[in-house]
Amino acid sequence: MSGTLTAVDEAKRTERPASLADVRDLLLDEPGTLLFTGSGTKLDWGAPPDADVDLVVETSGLDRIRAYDAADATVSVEAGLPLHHLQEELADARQWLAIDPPLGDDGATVGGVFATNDYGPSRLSSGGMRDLVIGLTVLLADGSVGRSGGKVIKNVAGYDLGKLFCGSFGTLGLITELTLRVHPLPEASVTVTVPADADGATAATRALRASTVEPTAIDWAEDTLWIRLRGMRDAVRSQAEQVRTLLGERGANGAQTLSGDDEAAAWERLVEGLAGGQGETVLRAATLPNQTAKAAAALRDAATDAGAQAALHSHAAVGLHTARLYDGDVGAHAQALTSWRAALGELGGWTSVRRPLSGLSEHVDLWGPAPAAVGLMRRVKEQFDPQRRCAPGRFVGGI
Amino acid sequence: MISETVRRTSEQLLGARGVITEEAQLRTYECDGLAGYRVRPALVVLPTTTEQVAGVVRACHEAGVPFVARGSGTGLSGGALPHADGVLIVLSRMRAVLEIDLENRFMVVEPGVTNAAISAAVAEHDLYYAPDPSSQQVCSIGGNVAENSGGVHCLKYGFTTNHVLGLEFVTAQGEVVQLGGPLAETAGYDLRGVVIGSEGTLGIATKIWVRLLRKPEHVRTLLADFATPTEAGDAVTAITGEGIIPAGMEMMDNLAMQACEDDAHVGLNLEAGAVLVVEVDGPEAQVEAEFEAVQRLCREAGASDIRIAEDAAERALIWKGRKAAFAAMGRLSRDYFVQDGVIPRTRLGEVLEQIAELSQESGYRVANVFHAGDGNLHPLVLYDGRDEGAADEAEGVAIKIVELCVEAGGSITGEHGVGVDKACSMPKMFSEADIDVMLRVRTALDPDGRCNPGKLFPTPRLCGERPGPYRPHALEEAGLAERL
Repeated sequence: MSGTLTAVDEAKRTERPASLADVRDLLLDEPGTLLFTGSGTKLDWGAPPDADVDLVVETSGLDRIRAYDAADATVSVEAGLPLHHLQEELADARQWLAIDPPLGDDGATVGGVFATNDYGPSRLSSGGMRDLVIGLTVLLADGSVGRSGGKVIKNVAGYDLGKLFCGSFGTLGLITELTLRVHPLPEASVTVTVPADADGATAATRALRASTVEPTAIDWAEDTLWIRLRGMRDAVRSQAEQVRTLLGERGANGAQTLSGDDEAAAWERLVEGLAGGQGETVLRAATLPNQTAKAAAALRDAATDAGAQAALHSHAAVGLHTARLYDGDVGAHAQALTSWRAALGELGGWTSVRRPLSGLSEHVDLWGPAPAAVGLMRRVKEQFDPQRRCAPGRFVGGI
Repeated sequence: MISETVRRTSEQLLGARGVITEEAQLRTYECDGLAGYRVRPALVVLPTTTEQVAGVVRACHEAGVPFVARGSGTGLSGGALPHADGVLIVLSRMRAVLEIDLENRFMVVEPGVTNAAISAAVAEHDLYYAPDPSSQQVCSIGGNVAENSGGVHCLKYGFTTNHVLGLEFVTAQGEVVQLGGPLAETAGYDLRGVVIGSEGTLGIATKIWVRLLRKPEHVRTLLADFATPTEAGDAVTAITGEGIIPAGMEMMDNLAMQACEDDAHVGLNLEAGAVLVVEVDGPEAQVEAEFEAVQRLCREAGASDIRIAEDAAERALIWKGRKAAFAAMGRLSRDYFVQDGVIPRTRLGEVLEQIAELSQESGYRVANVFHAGDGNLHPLVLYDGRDEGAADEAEGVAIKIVELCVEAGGSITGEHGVGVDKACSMPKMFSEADIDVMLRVRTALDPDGRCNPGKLFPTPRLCGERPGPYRPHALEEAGLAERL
C-alpha cells in the first residue's frame, strides 16, 4: 500500500457527512489534519501527506444532482456524485459531461475527477474539467464557504476559483458543489485504427491536425494510432473516409474502422488502462505534441536501463502522456522515473507520478522539480489554509 | 503627486520618451472605453520590455504607489481607469510576435499585440486564434487576458481562458514568473487560470502563449427575420435543443438593426422585429446537416425570411454589421449605457419582456444586441446627456436590467468585466463570504492592494454600505445560516 492509503487507514476517524452544514461542523470541531476524498479511487495518487491524518472526510454522502436544466446545458451537482451516475442522468436528455477519465466504473466522483484534474482521450476536443466547470462552491478548513462563477456558461464576474481548485488535490479546501457545462451526446462514434510506431504516430498526428478532419481524440497506444470521430452519423462516416484516405496517401497499411459496441468497448479498455493496475507505477507527462516519439523512445530506454518495463499511452495531438511502469522493483521504477524525467526535461517536458508503486516516494520526489511559480503557489496555500491542515505535503513542492 | 523616486526610476529605465508627465498628455489616458469615468494618472509609462515593466512595478512596490496596466484602452467597464496617485503602465509598445510554432499550434506574443493581428500572422497557414471580441481590430491580447474576453464565436470555441496556455507574469512585487507555458498542462495550481479575467488586480502579463486552431473546412451563415425577439429566442432554444452548437448565434432587435443598417449596410430587413444570425462551422458533411436543421428550426419558430450568406464576403459583411453595433448606436442616440448581463438562455423571452416594460415605464429606449447562444445580453439604454437628470435615470434603467439578469439566475457581466462600472453590483451576485474567499487570492498575490486598486471588488468608499438584493448563500440553502 502506498503512503496516502496508509495514512487514511491509520487516520483517527473517517466521516461521511450528508450535507454542507454537517461537513462544516466537522471541520470546525476538528483542529487537526484533514484529508478529503470522494470514493477513494485515486487516494494513492500524488505524494503522501507529511502529517498524521486526524479526520478523513468522504464526500460520498454529498451525491445529489442539485439542478439540471438540459435546455440551458448546465448541471449543478454535489462533489461526491459518481461521474457515471451523472452521465446516465444526462444521457436521458441526450447530453454528457464531455470528459472520459478512467475509474468511472469504480465510482470516481465528479469532485474527485476535478480535484485531481483527471481526463481521458476527449481532452483534445473538450478540454479538461477546468474548461467544463462554470461554478464552484468550496469549504475552507476554517469553515469559510465561498462560491465563484455561477450557473451560466458565459460569466466573468469575480475571480475564477474553478481554475485554482482544479487539480489542487484537496490542498486548498473541500470542493462541495460544482456547476458544469454539458454537451450534446454525439449521435454516432467511429474510430479509425492504424498500426503505428511512435515515429509513425507522431507524423500521422501532425498530418491529421493539418487537415480539416476534426477528431475528438487522437491517441497512440499499443503500437496503434486510434482516431476517434464523433458527431452526426453521415458526417462521422465521411470523416472516417477522409482519415483513411489521408493515412493511405502516407503509405500507412492496415487501417481499420471500428463502430458500434466494438468501438465503445475498445475505448473503455484503453481508458481503463490509463489508471494502471496492481504493481504498476503510473506517470503523467506533458511534452509538445511533436516530441511524442522522442518521449516514447526515452521512456523505453529509461525503463530498460532500470530493469523495468514501460508502456505509453499518448493523447498525441495535445502532447499529454500516461506511462505505466511494470515489472521491476520499486528501486527500478524510481530509477526509470528519474531518467525519463531528465530526458523529458531536455525536451521541455515534465512528468510526475500519478499512482506510485508502494514505497516509491521514499526513493524519489513524486511530483518532480517544483514549477517556477511555486513561491506564488505557496502564498496562495498560506491564505486558503494557513494552518496547513488540508492534505499537507500531498501536492507539488511539498504544498 | 507621484513619488519622486518612482518618476526618476521610470525615466532611468525607459528614457524620457517612455515616460509622460506633461499634464495635457496625461489627459489622453484619463479613460478607457467607458468614457463616463475619468481620472488623470499621476504618471504614464510606455515600457517596451518585461524588464522595464518589472522595474517600474518594483519601484511602485517599494514606494507604496499604486499602478494600473492598460492595453489599447477599449475596455467597457473601466478596468484600465487610471489611479490619480498612481502609475499607468501602458503596454501598447510591447507588440512583438516572439514565436510561431505551426506544428505545435501555439504563438508567443507580447501583450500589446492586437487580437486580430494574432490570427492575421498565421492566416496563410489556415490557422487562427479563436476568441474574437467585437473590438478585435484594436484591442490587445494583454487586455483580453485581463478581462477573459469572449466574442461572437465563444459559444462553441470558448473564451480567452480556454485559449491562453501560459503567461509571463510580473507580480505586484515586481518579480517575473512564468505561469503555464506552451504545454497543455503544467504541474501545480493553475494560477494562469486565476490571473486570466482578474482584471489586472493580481499583476501584469508581459508575454502570452496562445493556442491556435485550424480553420474549419466549411462555414455556413444565415440571417433569419422574426416578428419579435421572443420568437427568435424560441429558435435559439430549438437549435440548441437539437444538439447543435453553432459557432455563433447572435440576435439584434429592431432598434439595434436600424443602427447597424445605417452604419454597415448589411441589407437587414427593417420590417422585422428581430434578426438572428446563425453560423455553423466544421467538417462539411456535419455543417451541411446542421445548417439544414437550423433553417428548419428557424422556420418552425416563425422566421418570416431566411437569407443565406452566399460567400465569404457576404459573411464578413454580416459580421462586420454585428460587430459594429455599439459604434453604430451613435447614429440613434447621442449617449447610451451598455450592459453586459447574462441569463440562462431559456429565460430569454421572459427577460426581454421585462426589459421592454422597464423601457416603457422609464421612457428610455432600449436597443438589444445579444450573444443569444450563451444568453449574454447587451441592452443599450439610449439617452441624451444634455437633458438634465437623463444620465442618472438611464443608468438607473441599466442597473435594473442587470438586476433582472441576476434574479433570473445569471451574471452581472459576461465579457466586459466588472471594473469600476459594476464593482458595486458584485454583492448582487456574491455574498460577502464569497468575496472574502476570492480576496484570499488577492491577499496572496498583492497583499498591499497596489495592483489596479478600486476595481472588481466593491469598496465602502466606492459603494457605500448598501446591500444588494437578497440572494441566499450556500450556507443558507444548507439550512446552516439565516439572514433576517
